[in-house]
Amino acid sequence: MTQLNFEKAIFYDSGKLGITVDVTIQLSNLSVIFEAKIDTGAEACIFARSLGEQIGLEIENGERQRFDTVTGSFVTFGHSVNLNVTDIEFDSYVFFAEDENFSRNVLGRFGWLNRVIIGINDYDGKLYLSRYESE
Amino acid sequence: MQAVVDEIIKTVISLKPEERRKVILALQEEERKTKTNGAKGSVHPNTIWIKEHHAEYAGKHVALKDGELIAFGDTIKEADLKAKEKGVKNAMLTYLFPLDEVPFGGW
Repeated sequence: MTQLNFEKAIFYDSGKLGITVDVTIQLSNLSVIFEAKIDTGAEACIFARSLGEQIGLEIENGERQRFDTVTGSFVTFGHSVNLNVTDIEFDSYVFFAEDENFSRNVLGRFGWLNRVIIGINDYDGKLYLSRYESE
Repeated sequence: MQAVVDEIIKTVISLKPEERRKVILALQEEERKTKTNGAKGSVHPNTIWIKEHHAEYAGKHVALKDGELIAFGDTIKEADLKAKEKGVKNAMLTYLFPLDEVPFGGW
């Protein structure tokens, strides 16, 4: 038997598609809260362009990065921001879509999943989270 | 200011559950609104470092702080532990994708 202890246990709306959580991103004194889906298949955290603009980012000032999907690819720009999910926060490098019509927000592997320990009980719509703390 | 905050918390705690819920919802709604001071064109120093040095460290995990490289490694753990050995506990940790690979962006 393996036992894990978590800092947080939160309920998410299992009626929504995807496992959806509230996310806050912040740069200097500007912040915005929005919903994002946890996506273990995504290599990074990718958000809508407008969210970066709302915290004062000039999106194209970031580093250009293309991502693949099953149907094609899209362009993003990487930016360092403060990322907060359920009060577990840290500085992270996330990507904002170039296309203003891109409306999906995903918490992916690099930048979020690799900074936390996560447990999912989808039957009950319950998410367990801890910030990973190395020794 | 702290005294005011303490007083507010004390008051909210003393409310009936339905009143407290109203306060929580009002605060959540306020938090959802974008806070803006009209500033545009911001970019974090870490972002600038990545733009300038990505090619040198492509395929590595890096630990950055205020636009400076603190440590790097083949795994996030290696970069993190090296940064902590240098006394930097809250470095921004990220992976720099290989330049010849297009990472998967999700389903």
